[in-house]
Amino acid sequence: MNDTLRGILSWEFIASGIRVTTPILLAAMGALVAEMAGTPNIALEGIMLFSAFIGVLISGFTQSLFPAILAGIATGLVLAGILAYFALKLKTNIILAAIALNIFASGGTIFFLSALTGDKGSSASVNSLVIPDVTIPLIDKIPVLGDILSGHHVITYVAIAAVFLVQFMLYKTPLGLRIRAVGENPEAAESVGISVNRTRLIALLISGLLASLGGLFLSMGYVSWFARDMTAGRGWIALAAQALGGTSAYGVAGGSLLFGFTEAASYSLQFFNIPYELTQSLPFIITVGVMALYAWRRLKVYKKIDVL
Amino acid sequence: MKKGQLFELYRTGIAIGIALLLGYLIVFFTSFPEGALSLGEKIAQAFSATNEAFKYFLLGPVIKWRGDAALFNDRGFIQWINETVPIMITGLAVAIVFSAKIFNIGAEGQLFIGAVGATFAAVHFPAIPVLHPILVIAVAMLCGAGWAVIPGVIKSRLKASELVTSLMMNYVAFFFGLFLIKTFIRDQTAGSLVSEKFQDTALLPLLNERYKWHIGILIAIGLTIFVWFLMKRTTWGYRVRLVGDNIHFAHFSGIKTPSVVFQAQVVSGAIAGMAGIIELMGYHGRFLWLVSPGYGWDGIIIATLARNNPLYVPIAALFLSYIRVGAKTMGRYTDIAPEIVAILQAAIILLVTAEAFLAKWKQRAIEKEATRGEMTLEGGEKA
Amino acid sequence: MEENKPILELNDIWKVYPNGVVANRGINLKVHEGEIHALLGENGAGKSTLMKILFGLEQPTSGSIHFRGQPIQIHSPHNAISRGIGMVHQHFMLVPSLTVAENVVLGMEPKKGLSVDVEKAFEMVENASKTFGLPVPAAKKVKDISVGMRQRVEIVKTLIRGADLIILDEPTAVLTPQETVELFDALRNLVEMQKTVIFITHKLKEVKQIADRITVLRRGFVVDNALVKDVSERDMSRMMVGRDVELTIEKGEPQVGKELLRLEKLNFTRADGVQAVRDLSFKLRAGEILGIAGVEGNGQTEMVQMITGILSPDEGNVFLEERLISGQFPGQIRPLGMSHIPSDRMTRGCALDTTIEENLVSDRFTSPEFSSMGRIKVRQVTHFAHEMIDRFDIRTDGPKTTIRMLSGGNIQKVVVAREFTAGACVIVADQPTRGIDVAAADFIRRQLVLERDRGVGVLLVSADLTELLEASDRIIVMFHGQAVAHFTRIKDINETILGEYMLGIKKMTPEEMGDL
Repeated sequence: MNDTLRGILSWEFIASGIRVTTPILLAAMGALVAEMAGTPNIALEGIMLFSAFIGVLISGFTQSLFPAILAGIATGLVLAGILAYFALKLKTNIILAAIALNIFASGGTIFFLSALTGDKGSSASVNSLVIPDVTIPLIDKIPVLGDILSGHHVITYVAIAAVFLVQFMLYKTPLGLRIRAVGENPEAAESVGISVNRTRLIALLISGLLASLGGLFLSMGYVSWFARDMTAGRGWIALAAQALGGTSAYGVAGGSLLFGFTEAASYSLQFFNIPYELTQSLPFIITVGVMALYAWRRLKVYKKIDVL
Repeated sequence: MKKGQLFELYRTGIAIGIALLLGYLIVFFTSFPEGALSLGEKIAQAFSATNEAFKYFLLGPVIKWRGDAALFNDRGFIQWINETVPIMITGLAVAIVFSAKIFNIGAEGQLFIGAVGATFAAVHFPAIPVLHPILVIAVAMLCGAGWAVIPGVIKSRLKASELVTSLMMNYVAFFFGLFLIKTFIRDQTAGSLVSEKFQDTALLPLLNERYKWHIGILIAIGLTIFVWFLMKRTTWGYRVRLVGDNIHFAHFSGIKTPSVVFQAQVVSGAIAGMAGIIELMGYHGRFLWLVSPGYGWDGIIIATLARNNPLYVPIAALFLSYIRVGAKTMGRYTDIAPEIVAILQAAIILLVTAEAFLAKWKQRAIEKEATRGEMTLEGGEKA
Repeated sequence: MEENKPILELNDIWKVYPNGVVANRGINLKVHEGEIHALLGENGAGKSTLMKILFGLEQPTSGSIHFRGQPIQIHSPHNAISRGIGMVHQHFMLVPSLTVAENVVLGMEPKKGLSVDVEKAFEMVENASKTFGLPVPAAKKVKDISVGMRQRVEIVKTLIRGADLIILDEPTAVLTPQETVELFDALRNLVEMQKTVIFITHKLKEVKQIADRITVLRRGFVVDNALVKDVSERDMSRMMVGRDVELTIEKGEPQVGKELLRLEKLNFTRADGVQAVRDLSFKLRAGEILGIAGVEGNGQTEMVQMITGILSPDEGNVFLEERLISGQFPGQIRPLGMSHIPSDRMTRGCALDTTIEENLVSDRFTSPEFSSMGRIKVRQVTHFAHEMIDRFDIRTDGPKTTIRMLSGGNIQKVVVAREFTAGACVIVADQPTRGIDVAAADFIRRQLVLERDRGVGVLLVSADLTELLEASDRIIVMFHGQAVAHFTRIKDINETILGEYMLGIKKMTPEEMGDL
């Protein structure tokens, strides 16, 4: 019993929590950028899934990492681009368009897997590659910190960097300024000659890119294969993480960690007879509670909106 | 039928046509044979393979081939009808909230928790014929409605977005529901995680014993008529539709808009709640989902295709179910994965909901209608 | 100020919208460099359309624009900006959560490597402030500064982009008197630097204070232009408010009955700090049409909203048949006997994608006539709709047509049909004939008189003076949220007289106004 307790509170647990959080974090960053531009991207789940698939496929065929990663990222950009085209140009409701893309990814990955490799449902026959872990020299020698900070997957470090990059981009660069302007008052942006659609397109492309990295992590690091619906709702969880974290990348990162660590802990907590379903559902319950709280607070500030 | 409606029909038809064409092309290109053949031969082979596949896809649900004869495929037909039932019901549920322009996507969670709650009723309630299944379904509706209360309150009282909250509730429903099944009503003798068997009285009567064609379809059709009546012929439905069209106008006319918004979600939840249990009562006889079945998402597709009109929901549901069964048939006879149907669905949704798709033609149709009843003076002078 | 060459010339500008509305008719406009040019006109005169054309938001149907002697086409706001034309809109184009500096440099952000050079941005803003005499707090967020300051930020935005011609759309509508003074000082400053200003307004006092030249628009064409020093406020008022179309409504003498609606010292201050309604009191009696005259923006909207329940007054009360109604919701006030034809018929007056018949019963579908036990009696509804279509001359294919298919005039007739058959004792008609064809407008006015003859009390708020004079039994003029005139003998007055009160040139004493 004490062993289990120690197991949960060990540095290993923290390291594993970081690993589990990685794809959520990347997708959540994507959700943040898209949301700030006023075009929420609900298709992160589908983009992650398809990128995961492409990574496995290409690395298997070419036996080389670089093309696989490139293809995976390209997938994210293309799918986000399709979303942007339908939502911005053809005026499709962006929620419905995203749902369509998710459906496409869920079934399309299985279809193309079967058509191109003959595998049904998971990439058993594909000899796909894995993106390696990285040991940071010097740091890994530090006793406790070393275990936590070093030895992670490349993409995990990318994810951590992404948090700072996204925050920087949004709040310090001209692009970020325009994204925020477009999201808050598109007319103001138009009046100074900024193309609202183009800015939103860029925001969606960025979110697609980040999600695709999350997908690549899943199929080329977390595990080393592709399986049906392997994203398991992480794209949706990312949306919840963004809802929790608000407009700050650090806040969203915090939300992502909450979900990631809860998932990691849910397996261990089973030993205390706490059912894993309870732990797993906790972050979702918390999200609903927090959103209700935000809304309640906002009502207090503004005059009563009597219509709705 | 007005020009606007006719146009929507055409556009849906064109969207489906494009999607089928897309599917054809994908199958064509992935059927290209390997090996040492000329390009012409390869194309011919790909063509014949694709046509063969499409034969199964388009006709598979209703035709089976025995040797050279094409017979009626009763098994396929029944599967088609059975699979239509849950998505027709969720389609109706989603059509209600979408009519009010509420983006509550919680149908998935509502049907799951409805099914879980009803499972307890199916296993433990007194085994009175006729009354038992009715009670079971009633329990499902209650659970579904109850599950919609929280997002409903958050939206109507706190004015917050229902999208994320309803999504979260789906997850909680799944985890909580599975937990309940696992802990309280699991069949210990079975290999996988399933519930205890429903009592016989809780099962739905069958129209066909051999292939288990249950009366769920009759329930669904009855429900369709009921929802149509509710939305188009009652004061309640009128309020919901008016709020969806213009909430300011509804408020201006004296309608209590927050209540309407809340009620729409709860009623939708009640209907979604029974979508799952009906299939379990009709076909499986116990709760056996390890993953969420996805009918809630299908409901969104169907409501969108049906333009939130309850009368079109069965048609959309039958269509969606047909192409899925067709794809599965195709998957059995060829080595083309049935998941291709997902690609078609995605294409159809994208094209059907693209307001600007063929919008110019729609605009022309509307303008023609508008200028008919109008009086303009010379030079188009208007005060 | 010497006579410079015109920096801007508009020649024979016409703008006809696809739905047939002619907003600008053969407009000729000459603006000279270094002058402050005021564009005067009532609502609907065509000023905003003209400015939209100048700023690239609309394209003229025909006619030409010359800027600095060169013929040009202005395709977009971006295009206008690059040519040196800047616009300060009535509704500010600012992003509230960004700082002043960020808003000013948006779209032309100074860079330091990958990031925005915040210091340089501050510097740019400070320099502009200094050069043009418009100090703004560069580091503050826009949501935290006053309305007057926000407007100044907008002006700095245009100047920093090299605007030589600045268009201001009703700039003083949202300013306090002090802020107005500061604005005028700033404008004089700009003009000394050879900037040119076009100023859209209807406030004659301000025109006299600040403008060099005026052009007056009315119903889409130019009435006149003149040097400000050559005209008086009365002259300007006469130019703005003229009688063009002869309209006679058959109207008998009113049979005035008991008091139906009473406003007692209503006060309302808007969210942006401007007091829209000031101690407003009057009564409306059965069987009369009380017209409310006033240039839009003088509190009429807020007054109507307080009467109909959309807004709660800050102070004061509204009584309907002696019952206190102020502060209640529209849904509670309607059944008490009030009908409302809203000025924004698309937003509040109807549900566009719903059928005509369903729009007609939106306030009465629960009555036994149209429903029983929750079920709608469709045949009755359709029958009623047919009756309404006949009685109100609604041009349509049938009651089950979606209302979006109708022309504006017919949509308004549907609204009127509903409101006039609600059994109300008071009808509040807010701009009932704005933007609709002449025949429909005429019809609606006749209906108003019919209602009045049946004993209903009609409150007619309108920017159309001809309509007011023709239809009203008495008229109250509102200016800056107060009642400044009351006329009971309509035959003795005309638009010019009304105009003087509407534009604030004259004001009656309480004795002169008598019993409102």
